[in-house]
Amino acid sequence: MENFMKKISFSPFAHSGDSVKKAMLDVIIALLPVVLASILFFRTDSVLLLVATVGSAIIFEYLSRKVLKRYNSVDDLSAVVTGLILALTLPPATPIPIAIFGSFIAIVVVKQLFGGLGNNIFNPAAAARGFLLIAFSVPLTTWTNPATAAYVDATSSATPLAIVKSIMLNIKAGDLEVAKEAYNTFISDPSHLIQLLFTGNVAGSIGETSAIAILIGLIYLVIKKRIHLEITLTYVLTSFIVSLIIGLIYGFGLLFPLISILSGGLLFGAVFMATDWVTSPNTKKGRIIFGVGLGVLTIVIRLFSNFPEGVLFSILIMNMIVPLIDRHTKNRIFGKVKKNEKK
Amino acid sequence: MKKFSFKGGTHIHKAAEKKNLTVSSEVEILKSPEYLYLPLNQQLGKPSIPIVNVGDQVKAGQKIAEKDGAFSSNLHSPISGTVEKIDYLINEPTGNRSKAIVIKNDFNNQEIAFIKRSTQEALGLTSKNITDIMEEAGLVGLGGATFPTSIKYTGNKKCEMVILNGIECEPYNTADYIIMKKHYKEVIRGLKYMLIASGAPKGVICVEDNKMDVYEAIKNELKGEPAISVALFKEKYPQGAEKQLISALTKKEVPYGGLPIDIGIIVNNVGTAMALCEAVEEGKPLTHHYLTVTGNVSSPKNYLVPIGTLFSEVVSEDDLAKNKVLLAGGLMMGKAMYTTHTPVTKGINAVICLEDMPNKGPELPCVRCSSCIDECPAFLEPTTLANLVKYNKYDQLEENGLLACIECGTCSYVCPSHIQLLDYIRHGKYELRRR
Repeated sequence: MENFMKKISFSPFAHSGDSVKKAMLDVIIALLPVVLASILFFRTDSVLLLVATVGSAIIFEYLSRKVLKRYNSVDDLSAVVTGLILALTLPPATPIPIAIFGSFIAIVVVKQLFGGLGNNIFNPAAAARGFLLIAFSVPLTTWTNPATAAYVDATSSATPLAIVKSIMLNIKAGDLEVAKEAYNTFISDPSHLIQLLFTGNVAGSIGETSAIAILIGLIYLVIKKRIHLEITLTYVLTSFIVSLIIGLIYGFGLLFPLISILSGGLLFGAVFMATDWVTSPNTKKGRIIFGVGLGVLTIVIRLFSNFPEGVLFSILIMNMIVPLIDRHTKNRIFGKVKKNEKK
Repeated sequence: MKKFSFKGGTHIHKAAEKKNLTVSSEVEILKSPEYLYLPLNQQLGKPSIPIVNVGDQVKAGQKIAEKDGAFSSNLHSPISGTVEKIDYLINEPTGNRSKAIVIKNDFNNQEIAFIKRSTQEALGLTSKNITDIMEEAGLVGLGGATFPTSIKYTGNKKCEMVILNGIECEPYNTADYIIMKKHYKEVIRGLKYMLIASGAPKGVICVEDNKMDVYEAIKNELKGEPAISVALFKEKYPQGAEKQLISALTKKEVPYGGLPIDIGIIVNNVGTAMALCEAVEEGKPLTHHYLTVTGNVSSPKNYLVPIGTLFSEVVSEDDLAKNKVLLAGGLMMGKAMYTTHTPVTKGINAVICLEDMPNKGPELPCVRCSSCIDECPAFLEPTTLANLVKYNKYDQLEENGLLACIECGTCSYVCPSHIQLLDYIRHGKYELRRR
């Protein structure tokens, strides 16, 4: 007897069960150690910032989708990730209205006006953070010490990056001796300094200080296969090599590149911002170029520009040329011979 | 132990990997059903031409349709009986409709006189003899592509190696496993005849590492056979795809748009080798093969069925009532049938019942995670191709390598946004052909 089936479709008839929501959830879980570290070091400042940016990011996502007459995309959790990353890159004393304005820029301007998740050119959190830095430069460069303050500079709660910057300014002014002296005071207790940078008990953006917390998140992402590790590795390695060369030129020694990597937002950026799926290249080759570009730009901006930190701007600059990288780093198609190779 | 593997591909997750359903169950020899529906279009090329008339008496093994052109093949009756119709329109497992010869079983099981040969005699045959036997017996590639086997062996190009594909990477199918487990000796002899036919000095049987028992059995059997070896492959989808198999084994790639013979290699399924052995030694044409009936059914198992058996003969009414989807071929590359009034053809080795269609959406925007790009075994960018199709930029498809796509479905399988990438790519192929 002839029986008719109720459903037909095309192959494949299986799915890995993966979803954007699961991926975003994994990123949120990977961010948890960083969130905990930030709360540990900066207490209420951190909690308030996190709640304000994540909450406002969700609201802005919902409202902008409504106004733009698109389907509700809050439940893909990408707004939560953006809000979290934005909050974690802000200084502890950032006024809450500025933080909320930041999530407006990230969600509405950078993401939704460009077409929503998957179509944005820039990493929303990085672009918003960059915007805030330029628009509100005073509150966003005012650093406070962690509640558990251990590393207290004699003059103020300067971040390690600011100290490096002032040393570079000395060099620019021609006072190589002064610079060397300042650097030597800075690294007078190297093991203590490195320890502080690892745990994160220094002044800085609330989520960027603790290298250990970031590395735990990285391990989780690697286990879950949510990260293109080649970006992180080439980024960190290139920054290391570039700052090693510059350090050797100025006679700073071998500790300098290590400080470069551990201070500021470099690790956080390399793990959570540069590896953003949407705004990084498609192929392995492209990602390696992307990571190398990030490393060079970050160190150059840090040491030779007016800004003490170069992670944000290097990510934004490299985001812009991702389509170009994609176009020129396509994989060789199976069975096709490379152009410069003879058959 | 060296295990071969290819670049790209994915691991089918445990919940979808259901070989265990049928891997240890007994093989049932299906008693011949009352009616057999033999589509004339069971091969890659043109449909065969019927050489019997309505009302004719036919015997088992008798030729009932003749090949029409080089890429066509002969068709034989698996049973004895009466020809009821010769132009019955039926839904084929490929999704097409084609004419079929309908034979009513008389249950006398009369056979024609088969030309039998001993192994010694058979090994003395010439290349021409064997390709003639392939052609006469209606042999086509039993891996699913149904490429007439004799064509592979009659080209002008020199063959260096014959590869037998026993990978079976489809997550439900075990028919090839059963063949290698029960008939590995015939498979090896079939490969020997293939070596004679091709003139190749070397033959390799390829087995995936989830079938260690047959690997060991074949390895033991091959002691003292320098020309033939067995190779072990890592379990990964789609390891069984012809071009990926070759690149894993030999590190050579079949040129874009080319055939394996372009680099001196012939690939055949283990089922084809067994069928060739039967055709050479017992003179039997291809009329029966193994069929995995599995999925959400009460007793999943492998059947030995005559070609032309309807799906309704192997899947019971009760089983159908609890399922919404009926697949012919395989979970990853098969086709969904709308009716059970569909015959088993030469290229179909599994029938799978699914309770419901797996999640196919809703389609979310691409988040550029590049899973599809990293795992594409043809090194394509499925998401780029899908976008080109979406925005009607068909002229750029060719340069992005569309034709290298083997339609394995890995991209659609891994996409976290549930984009049916393969559907876009198929549409692109259709548009390119149409132009």
